[in-house]
Amino acid sequence: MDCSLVRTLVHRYCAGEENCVDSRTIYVGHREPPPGAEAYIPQRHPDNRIVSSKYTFWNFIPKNLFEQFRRIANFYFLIIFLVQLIIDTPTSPVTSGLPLFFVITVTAIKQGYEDWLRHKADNAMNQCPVHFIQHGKLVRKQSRKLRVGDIVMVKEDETFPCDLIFLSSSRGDGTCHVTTASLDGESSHKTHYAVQDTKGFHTEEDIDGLHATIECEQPQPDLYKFVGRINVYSDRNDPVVRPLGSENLLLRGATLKNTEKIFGVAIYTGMETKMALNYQSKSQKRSAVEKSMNVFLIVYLCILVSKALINTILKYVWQSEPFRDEPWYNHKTESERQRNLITLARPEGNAKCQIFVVLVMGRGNHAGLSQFLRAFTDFLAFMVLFNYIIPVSMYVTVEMQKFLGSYFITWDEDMFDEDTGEGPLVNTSDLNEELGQVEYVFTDKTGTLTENNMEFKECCIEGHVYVPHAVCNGQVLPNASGIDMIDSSPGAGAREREELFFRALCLCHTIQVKDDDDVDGPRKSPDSGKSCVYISSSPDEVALVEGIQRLGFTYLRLKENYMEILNRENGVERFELLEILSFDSVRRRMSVIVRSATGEIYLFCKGADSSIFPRVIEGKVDQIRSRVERNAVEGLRTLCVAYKRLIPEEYEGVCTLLQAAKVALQDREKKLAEAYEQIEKDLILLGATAVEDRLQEKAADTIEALQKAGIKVWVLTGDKMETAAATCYACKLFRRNTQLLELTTKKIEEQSLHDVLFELSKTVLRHSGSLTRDNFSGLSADMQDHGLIIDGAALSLIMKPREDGSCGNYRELFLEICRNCSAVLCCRMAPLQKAQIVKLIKLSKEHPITLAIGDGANDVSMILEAHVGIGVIGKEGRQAARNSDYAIPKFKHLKKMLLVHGHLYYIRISELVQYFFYKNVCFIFPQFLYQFFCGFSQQTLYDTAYLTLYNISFTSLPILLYSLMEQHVSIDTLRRDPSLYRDIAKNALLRWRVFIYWTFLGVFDALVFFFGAYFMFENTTVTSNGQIMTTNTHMIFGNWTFGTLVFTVMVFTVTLKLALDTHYWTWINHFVIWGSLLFYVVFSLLWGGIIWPFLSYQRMYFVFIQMLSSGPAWLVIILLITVSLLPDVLKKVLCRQLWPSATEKVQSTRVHGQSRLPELTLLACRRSSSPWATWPGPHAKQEPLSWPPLSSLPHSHSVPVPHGGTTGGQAISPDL
Amino acid sequence: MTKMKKTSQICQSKLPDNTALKQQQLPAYRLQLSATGVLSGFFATGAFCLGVGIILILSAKSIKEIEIKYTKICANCAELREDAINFDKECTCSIPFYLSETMQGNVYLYYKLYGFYQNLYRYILSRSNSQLVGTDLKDVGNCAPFSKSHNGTPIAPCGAIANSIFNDTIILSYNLNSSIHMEVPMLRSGITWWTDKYVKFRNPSAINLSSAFTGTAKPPYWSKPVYELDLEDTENNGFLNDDFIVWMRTAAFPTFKKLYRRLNRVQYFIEGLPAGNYSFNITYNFPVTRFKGEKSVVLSTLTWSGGSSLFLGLTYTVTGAVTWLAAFSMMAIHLMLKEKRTLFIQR
Repeated sequence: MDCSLVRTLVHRYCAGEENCVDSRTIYVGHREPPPGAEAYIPQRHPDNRIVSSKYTFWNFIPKNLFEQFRRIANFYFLIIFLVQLIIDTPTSPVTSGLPLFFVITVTAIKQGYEDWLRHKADNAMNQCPVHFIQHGKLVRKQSRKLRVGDIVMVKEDETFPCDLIFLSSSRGDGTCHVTTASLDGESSHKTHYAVQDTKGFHTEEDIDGLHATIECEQPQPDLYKFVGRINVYSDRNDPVVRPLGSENLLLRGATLKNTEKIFGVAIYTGMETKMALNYQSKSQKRSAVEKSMNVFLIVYLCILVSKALINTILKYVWQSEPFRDEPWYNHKTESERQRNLITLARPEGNAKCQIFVVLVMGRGNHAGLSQFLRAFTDFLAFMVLFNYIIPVSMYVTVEMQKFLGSYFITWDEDMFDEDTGEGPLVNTSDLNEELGQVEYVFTDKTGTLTENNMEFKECCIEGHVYVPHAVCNGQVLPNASGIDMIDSSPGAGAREREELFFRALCLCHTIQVKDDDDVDGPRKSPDSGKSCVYISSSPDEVALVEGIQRLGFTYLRLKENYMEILNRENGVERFELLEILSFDSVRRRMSVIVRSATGEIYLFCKGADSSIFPRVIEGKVDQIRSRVERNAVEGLRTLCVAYKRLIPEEYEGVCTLLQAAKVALQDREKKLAEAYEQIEKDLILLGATAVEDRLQEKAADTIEALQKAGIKVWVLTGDKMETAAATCYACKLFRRNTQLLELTTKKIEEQSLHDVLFELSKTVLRHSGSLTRDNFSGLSADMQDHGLIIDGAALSLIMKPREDGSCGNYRELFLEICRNCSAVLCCRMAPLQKAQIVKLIKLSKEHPITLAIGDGANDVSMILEAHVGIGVIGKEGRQAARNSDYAIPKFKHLKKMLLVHGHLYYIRISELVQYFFYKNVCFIFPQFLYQFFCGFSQQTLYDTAYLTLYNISFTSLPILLYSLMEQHVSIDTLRRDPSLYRDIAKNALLRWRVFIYWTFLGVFDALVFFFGAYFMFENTTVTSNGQIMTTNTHMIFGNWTFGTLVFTVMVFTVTLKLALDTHYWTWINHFVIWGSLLFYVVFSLLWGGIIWPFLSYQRMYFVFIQMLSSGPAWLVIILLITVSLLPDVLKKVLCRQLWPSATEKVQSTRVHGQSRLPELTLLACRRSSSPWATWPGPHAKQEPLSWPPLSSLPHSHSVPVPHGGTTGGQAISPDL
Repeated sequence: MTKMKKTSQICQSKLPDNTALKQQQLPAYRLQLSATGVLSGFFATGAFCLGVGIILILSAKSIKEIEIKYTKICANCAELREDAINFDKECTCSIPFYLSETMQGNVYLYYKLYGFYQNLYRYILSRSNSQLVGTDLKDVGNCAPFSKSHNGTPIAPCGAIANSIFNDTIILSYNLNSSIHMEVPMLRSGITWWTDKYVKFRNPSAINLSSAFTGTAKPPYWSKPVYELDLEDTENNGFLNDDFIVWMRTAAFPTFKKLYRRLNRVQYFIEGLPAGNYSFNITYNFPVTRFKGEKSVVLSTLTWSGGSSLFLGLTYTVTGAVTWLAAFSMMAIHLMLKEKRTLFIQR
């Protein structure tokens, strides 16, 4: 007793509380187990409240503020604001406080609103009624009051309120159907099983009498994994122990289907349900643009600090002469003098300074220290004066651009798939521009390149090939169900084998039969069985069972643990399903153990050839192997089928083995695998099947375009080498003239890994040296490119660290080879190996941007690893799409995603970033220069309103709209000419050279504005003809007019610079650009037109109007705008003429070509028939060569052969 | 059935709208930098700049301007003003000069200061707008240390700007011959912004000015109170004094020129200032040597394009020339490339 108390206390107070216990015990219905049971460890479980909201009403403001100021930029602005508040600075705190306040408020409102929505959703969820059993009665309560151990009743079409252990259902066989559409997107019905010993409890009273405890693991996020056991106590007997697996677990969020009601006991509630645990956000990916933006920010921060430092030093140099420090006309105030002399007195006059000084120094009275502090205060004041060089609004604009811009992807009609009714999804908008930077594409094969729409092609039984010929363009002809025998007809013994093979395929699967929503109605007549719909997580199985159906054997259903099949004679055969040894990707096979009507026990095993052949002891292995290999070469997916007859004693052994493994709480997976390994051996080979997976529409076209865009495409697949290679040929990843290099286990067995690698690198490097240039131009006709094939085992050898620590060498060598190959195929990859490959490339020394695309759960790790992860919304559930950054319905959409959207986003955001820095250099540099003319006294050049509004309203909208609308070339051109993608590769528009150019342009423009206006003020009598009113005189302008003049020139120049960079002028651009200029003028007129009562000063009164009434001011404005825009235009035009980039060529050909377009097209057509124009190789002649894939692939029409030719021709014509 | 309906609805709602905006297909004009367009643009810009430049140079040539620095000329006075103790000692200084040509039209008289920082941060702030607008004479907000006199009465006008007003008196006299010296008639009004004179500056309302300013002290460096700035013209007195208003508009740079008087075109001077001998009679009060500065007087005529400086005109001309140069070189490059291209195609 004491002991347990201590333990409880320890558990309660040690860190993480529940992490200390690795399992939890639950009393079903809160009934204590009979004494003598295992010691119960009481644990606290959360209630069933789902809290997805971040804030509560009370902590919203502090918590949200804390969250927001954790961002480095916001924190910077906060510091600036505080400095402005504390010390006496020339700019009012409003100028930086207002934008910051605005940004913080908008973000807070947005987050608050989102959180409010979340609260609402939570409340709706937490308050929805749940039926549960109390003292044998049905009680309705709010969902949030549910606790662990409660027995819950769920009716049809309701969602489960928490994670439940399935106790019993209204269906007699103790099963229920569930869809997990809201969890992982799979809409198929899955069968779950009630615990054997409790499935008899059908009524509320019954279930209340249940006396049981459940032990299970602590909550963990894996949706498909669960281990536990249940102890059912019946009167005075030892408890019955049963294993619990994920088939007994009903997850929160899933929906009950086809079942009237079920009972279950809550085991994980609230935030501990698997659904809630899965909500945890993924790690944040940052784009290359964002990284360079941060680097540029640091540069600007350095510029800012050095500006402030220079000015502080110069100020003290300048002031070293007393007549300047305190001329007779500008005496210091008492407090200022006191600050120097550090005789702290009454805080009169400048109280703020005083307080600051007192705060910082305490009562130190060292003169040197005070001098230093004064200098430091000055330094801070200069920092504040120049802080606008890093504007708050840049962050806001970038965020808005990304957020709004991502809608263009979801809106895109071209990327909408009408068959599935799915459009593209954007899960994160942070990576839009990264799509324009991709250098490596890692693609999955099945379901991504191919349709994952399996079709049974043939089967081979003991060397005899059977082809169901009833297939016509993918449609089954109703009457034809015969078998077309290719080889000679088999003998009687063979016929027996044949039927056994068909039975094996009919039984060895995990398919469910969907019977059109009638749950317990009478079964359909056997004839109609052909129309029943099979549902399975693996499309191969469906294809096989459907194929076998055409060969005469039909799988009907699984009823009360009996599998029913319809044989050729329309007789129903019943097999008792004893065990299922389910499929996993490591074993790559599955088995069933069934008992036939005659009492014989069979084990049927189906799996990949590599996993079956080693376990086979009998059968025509060689014949079947050769057939399998032939099929694989043709790109078919092959499976081998084997069986074994078990005598009852053997079966007993198997049973105990499996039971022991299943009940184990720890390492159950491992123990199960061991058990399977022991059971699935000494098999007799029956035959093999071949299933075809068609290429996706336009897959080849897409890959070709990506390669032309300079992107390296790697195929990573779990398939075997021959199948994968054939697919690669079909989708033009490998070409006729591709020299294939193999790095496979077989080769490594022959030579050592060392030799193979060195040999390969030699071959590759010999060619690459002379070909890199051609390669880049993308025009070389007979480019000898290399394709590398590597398999998983070889890869792990390369990756494995050696004992002597020379692992790096192989890795480097391997990378070197890969880099020089145009295409790489990695087959036999485990999911984690896929991620490993991606990581290897990602971390190689050039740090290329990687993109991973896949559709299945096995691609998730690679999708998460790559810079950009794209999920194909495919047939294998939605896991990939859920974990990806972007999801697209088809592989072909990748082309538009990268070449069009990625390209445009990159152009837009890079201009946005550069332009923002440019316009703020223009803005702040004159301010810096002015310090040299005002005795470094921190006098501002511009009025406060201008300082505040420059970035917020005068110049913000044009760039935002530019960054949303700009199309430097048309979408059509981008799609037609993939090579344009190379122009922006490697972050081309944000390189240092470009950044420095923009910065210097900014400095130059600032110099022009400032000194242009300065010389005019110095030399010319800048006067205004005061005729506006009554007097007819000329008057002098002051410093505010000077600032306004500079500011006016600046606003116009900066906006017109953007106008010159805009290639795509929609009405929105016109509206925004001219509108913001107009707004500036109107605002200035208004701002100066009235003495605003809320302002303590009136220095801007009539300044703008007086300036505009002066002739010289107009002349200067026009002159300075021209001069500051001229060099940029000149540079642009000259670069275009002398070193045009491909994009610019396309831009100009478009203009020239418009008038004589027909002529050009004619030319292009004629050209394309010439031998060199049809790069990349004459596809039409490609077929009858050593690799047979194209001709033998039946649906080769999906490979757009003529299309490729035209693309080539069109791509070339602009370059002429 | 209902299920079917539902799915079809979902499909429809998921299908993106086919609007031009959402498909990024808005009708747009594509800005193209074509060779002819760019070249003609450059030539046009160049022509415009050259034209304006030449006009400006010509118009600036027609302007007459004369500037006389008098700090060194009046060295004795400057020395006297070095020391603030001598503030009540008057010092005058006469500067004769010869005008070789007539100054046609309106002639303006400026004073110009070198090295006087009217744009120091604290200096610019050191004024009280509510005082200047006449509403609250006691409001001396930002004026420290020139806000209150020793006995605590508020200074009107307070602050460093007002305190340091330019207080030299400049009188231009025309020497018709060696015996007849006549003072050139000058207008001291109409030299400020209209808005300054009639909106931003107002005298406190009272029967007369001196009573309005009771209870205030004069700025420490002033010799007479603000209501005695111009005793002849009541409209030009107190805060409404034009010289005062001009001074209160702080200059942008340490070297600046401020309008002092304008020629009253009567009698001899109906056409402007005739050629001949003149002299400036200056009462030297404003100390500049203390901050190593200088003072000068400027006489100038004006045109629409400003003063006599060639700056604007020259810059325009140079810009135009550079633009044309660029245009010509671009044309050369363009033609060269075109030739190359035709050769390439022929081959």
